Amino acid sequence: MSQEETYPVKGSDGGSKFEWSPDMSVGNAPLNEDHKAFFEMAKMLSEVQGANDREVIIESALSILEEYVGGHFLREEKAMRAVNYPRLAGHVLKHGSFRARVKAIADLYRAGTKSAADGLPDIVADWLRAHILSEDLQYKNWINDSVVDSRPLVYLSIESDT
Amino acid sequence: MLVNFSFSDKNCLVVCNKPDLARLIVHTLRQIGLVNVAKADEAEHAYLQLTKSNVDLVILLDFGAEESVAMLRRIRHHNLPAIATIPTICVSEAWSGEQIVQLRDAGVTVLATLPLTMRTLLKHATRALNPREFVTAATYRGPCRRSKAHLNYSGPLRRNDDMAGSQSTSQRHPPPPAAEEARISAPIPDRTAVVQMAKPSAIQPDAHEPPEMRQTRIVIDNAYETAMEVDGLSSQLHRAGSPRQRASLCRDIAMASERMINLMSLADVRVQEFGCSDGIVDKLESIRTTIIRNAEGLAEAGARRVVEYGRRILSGHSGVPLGVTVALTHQIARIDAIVEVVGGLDKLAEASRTAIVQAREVTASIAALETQSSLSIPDFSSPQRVRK
Repeated sequence: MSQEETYPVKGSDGGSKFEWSPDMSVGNAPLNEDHKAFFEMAKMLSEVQGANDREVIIESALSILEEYVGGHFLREEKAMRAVNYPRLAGHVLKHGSFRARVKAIADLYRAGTKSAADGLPDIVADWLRAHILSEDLQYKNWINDSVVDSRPLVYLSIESDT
Repeated sequence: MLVNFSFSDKNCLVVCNKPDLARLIVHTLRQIGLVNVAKADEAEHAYLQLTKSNVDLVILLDFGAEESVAMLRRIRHHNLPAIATIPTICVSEAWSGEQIVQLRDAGVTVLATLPLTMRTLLKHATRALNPREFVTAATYRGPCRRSKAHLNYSGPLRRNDDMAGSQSTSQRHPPPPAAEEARISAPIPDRTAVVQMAKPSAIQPDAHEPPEMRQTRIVIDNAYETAMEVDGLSSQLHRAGSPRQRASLCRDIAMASERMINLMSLADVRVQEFGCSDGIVDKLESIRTTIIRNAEGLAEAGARRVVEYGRRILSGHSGVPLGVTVALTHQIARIDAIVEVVGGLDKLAEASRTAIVQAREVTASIAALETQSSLSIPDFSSPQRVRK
């Protein structure tokens, strides 16, 4: 089991596992906003489980989550690449692994296994918390605002597919 | 289509009575750069927000088709042009064809379906915030819906850009800029209601309507009423069983059609001379649609009249009027034109086809008879003409 998967489920400040906390700040507003958006998405997914119109919301949420993953990871990787961050390769590998995991869950859900999405909120929140604290904080002192693409996430998501 | 369009200065209002869905979409709108997003969970609250704050985009999110149409109408009919022209996106899990027509007629800017993604939201928002020309007509208010330019279009030119391109050919003129705001804020009738009006009395007369326009409207109302009559007769014709019943209905259709065509000719002259409102144009279009729909009945009725008249001449019950062949040939040409509208003789019912073929044969026989009679001087001493 990797270090990322052994992190506690509660926020480090004792808050909800679906909340971003200041100790997760990577020192850049767009990247912090992306992380907050991920937590918010995980929280929404967890809260929608019992809703009447659950399916249509989850269908949208899964597609949006996939776009978030693609766009945010590209934003980070572009910044790291711009400053020749030495641990870029390993970081990219971890991104790729999580992207594949989310895609597999989304595909399974779309293929008819609706229960596939049940554990997704926890998977996202846990992975993200662990990843930020163990990996992202390491590039905090390498990057600066000038190397981070600050466009809205949707444009990076589109770029990640091209 | 994707452009780096900045939404940072735009204010959006999401109207949705499903909190989870609203939350997801508001959250996603932020990721496409639309950060100033307000929410409303019912129509009155939304309307209040629209009037009290500066809203650049309204998203009616899974709000129900009827409620969305009602909300759109309230927006498009607002007195303030800034509110009446707000781009509006309607989103639902699915739209029926009827709902799409209603929403389009109510002036929707963009129609979308769930599930939504960041990209589809960006696409819809970009399209909505870069809308096409806003059209204000008597029966429609909303973004321009013209899909393509028709090279051979010969109808009325009503748009400002039409006027700029063809001042010389148009019969109409755009309103002066100062009058445009007043025109936008004027109440407009519902198009569906106008099209479905069966009787002219359903129209409320406008006290300020110029006399020429009022007369034109009366003529067109009569034509419209006659078109409805033809429509009703035509429906009966399709259900008619016996030949006698069919012949009777065809005669009635022919009489009503002739009356309608005369009224339409008069209306055409008046429209060319005095112009007309957009409401009248819509009504003329409805009449035209009725004529096309009833083309088969018209063709058959015309053919039966030719046959009936021609047979009276051929049997000797009537004389051979001077120029009868020209008149009948003209009638046949009119029938042929109507048959073309339907798609040719093969598309007609057996009874209609037979009547038209007989009409042609009778016309040919009368043409031969007329030729024969014009070449010979009548013999007044023949035994048939000698009084006993």
